[in-house]
Amino acid sequence: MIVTNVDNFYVTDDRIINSPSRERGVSEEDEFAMRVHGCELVQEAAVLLKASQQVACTGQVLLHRFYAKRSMVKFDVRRVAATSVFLACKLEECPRKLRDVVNVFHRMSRRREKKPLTHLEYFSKRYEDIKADLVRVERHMLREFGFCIHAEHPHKFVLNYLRMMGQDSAMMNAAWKIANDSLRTTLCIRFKAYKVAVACIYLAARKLRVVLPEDPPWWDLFDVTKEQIEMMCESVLAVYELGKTEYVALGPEPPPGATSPTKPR
Amino acid sequence: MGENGKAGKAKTGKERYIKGAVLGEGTFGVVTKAEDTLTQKVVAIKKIRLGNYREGINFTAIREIKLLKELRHPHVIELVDCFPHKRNLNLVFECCESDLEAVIKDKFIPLGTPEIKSYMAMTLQAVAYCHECWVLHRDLKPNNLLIAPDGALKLADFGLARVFGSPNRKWTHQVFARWYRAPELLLGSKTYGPGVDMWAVGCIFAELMLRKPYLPGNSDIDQLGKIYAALGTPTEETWPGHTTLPDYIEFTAQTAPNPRALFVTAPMEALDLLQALLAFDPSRRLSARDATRHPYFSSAPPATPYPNLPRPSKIFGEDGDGGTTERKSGDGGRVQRASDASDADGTDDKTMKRRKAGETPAPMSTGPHGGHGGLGVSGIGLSGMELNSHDRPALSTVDRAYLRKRKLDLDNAFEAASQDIEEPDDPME
Repeated sequence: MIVTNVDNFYVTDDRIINSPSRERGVSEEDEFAMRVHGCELVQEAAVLLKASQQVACTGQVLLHRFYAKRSMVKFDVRRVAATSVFLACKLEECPRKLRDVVNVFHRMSRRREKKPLTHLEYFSKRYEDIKADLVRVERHMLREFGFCIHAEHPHKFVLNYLRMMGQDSAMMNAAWKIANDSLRTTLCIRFKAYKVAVACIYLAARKLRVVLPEDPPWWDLFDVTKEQIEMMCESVLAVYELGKTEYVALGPEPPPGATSPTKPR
Repeated sequence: MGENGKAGKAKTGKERYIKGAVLGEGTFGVVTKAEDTLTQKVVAIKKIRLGNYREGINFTAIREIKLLKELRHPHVIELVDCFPHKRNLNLVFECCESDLEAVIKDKFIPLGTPEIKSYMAMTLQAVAYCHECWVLHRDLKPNNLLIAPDGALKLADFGLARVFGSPNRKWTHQVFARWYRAPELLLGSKTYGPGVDMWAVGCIFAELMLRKPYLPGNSDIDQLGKIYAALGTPTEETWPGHTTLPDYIEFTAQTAPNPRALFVTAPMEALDLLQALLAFDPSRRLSARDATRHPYFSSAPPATPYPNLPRPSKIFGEDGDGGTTERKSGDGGRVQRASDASDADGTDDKTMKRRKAGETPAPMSTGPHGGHGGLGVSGIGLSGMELNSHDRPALSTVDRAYLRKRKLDLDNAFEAASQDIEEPDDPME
């Protein structure tokens, strides 16, 4: 495990409720839906880019961290998602060309808008604009993070803890999937990864009806309280209730080159 | 921004620093000396040009920031701050005035066993710390080992460093300056480990004793030839499985010459440590932590405490004529201040003659440990001076080579990325 000397990206619950987006008039539901949507984009882009799951995870963490500092009005979720993937690729040592990232996001947006999958002209002004914007957002991102750009994911803790508890691979698979889904929520900026891992295991055990020792409760071993676990589980379950999300333009300024349907609000 | 971001009114970004003289030109941009108005410390600011926005923030800069933010060790360079300004990214490091290469080249610095021991101990501690944090440096060489104003050695330039430990990762073998590249890299291994750093440490150790590069190959093949000439060809016993490496080439079998012939005055423990660091089989190579516990460091004479180490007279960015013009003068032995101590140590006549008249004696070599230095200087240092005409690649060519190398590194990363997919599951059920 990497020794972490800088952990300044965890935010208080108050900051989650009064987020920068909220200050700019974005409702809690909209912000949640757009965070989930952004994460879906990150995940899908990572798959299309043939990047590792680690890239997808780090990208989602970056997205959440960024929206803890800046609003969705100023920074459209699709721009931030693209930048998150691009930066995450660099961070996780599987760099992808900026051009590939732009193309993948172009394709995804065309598909979501149910338009024919056209080729994005490489020498067009639009391509240049999107590219320059992505680099600009990347710089905003790094500045907001104060260049603290490492991310730790619950996955490794999930596997370690389950092995410690002598569980089988079915349980590991279930908890692993929940760990992936947990990144759709703001858990990664509210709790340390090892705590999120405990919630993932808890949820997986409930789902598979696996009985884990409760006397004394197993989570005591991992330094997490029952209240915290329940809070985290609720957050994750909210994602499943939400289902598939649609893009909603929240800001007055659409990203450069985007042909976005602006929902009348 | 890092630390001062929270301080609110504190000066941030560019305003925090008062810029001074230019220290030098790095691979990616200019390095300037500056004063930190928050801490009143002297820092070095490395400006990385982003230029034409082609691929966003520089990949090596990202690596360096990411790793250095997490590493804190007295012998690893401290990343004080980083901030974007205009189209540039600025990395603020603690200021170091010199590097180990300058120490090795400065003929008026005695490098006896106590000094070498001190440098080696600091290097090994830094490397051991990095390895314990699962970081491979992958670019160890004397001019990445900087000397701080207090004499401490600082491991720097993490632009090629990577986190290791995940199994089955394929990496590029185009890392390290050639002279410090381990044989498994030269044979094209892509699944290497901390052993590559240890090989480079071994080369640096030998270079400290010889005062000239130990294995200065001028091509990859020549590098292997130099290694085999110095250490003999590996056999299935000394290095099982090396014949199966991708770029394996058969060399005429050679036996290793007696190291004593080259390292005339080195103590027994030093040769033993060197041999352990330069073992062919990476799995049998000494680890950094084990190396710090090697009897070499506990035997007499004791290591010089670093504040007492002699400092090189070449200081970055200080001398207008010294840095560039003298470098060109060819023999690499820039004649500078001589000290009384090095006279007493029996420095050879040639250097005495070359010494400029009227130079002020350098105060730092006249420490209490000056006397010990005699061992190294008289025996080994001499041969180093005779052969010092060896053409170490000039800075600019080295830099260009690195740029190419780094590009290769990226390309390989693109290729290898498809093999990196490790998690099998669907993200969403």
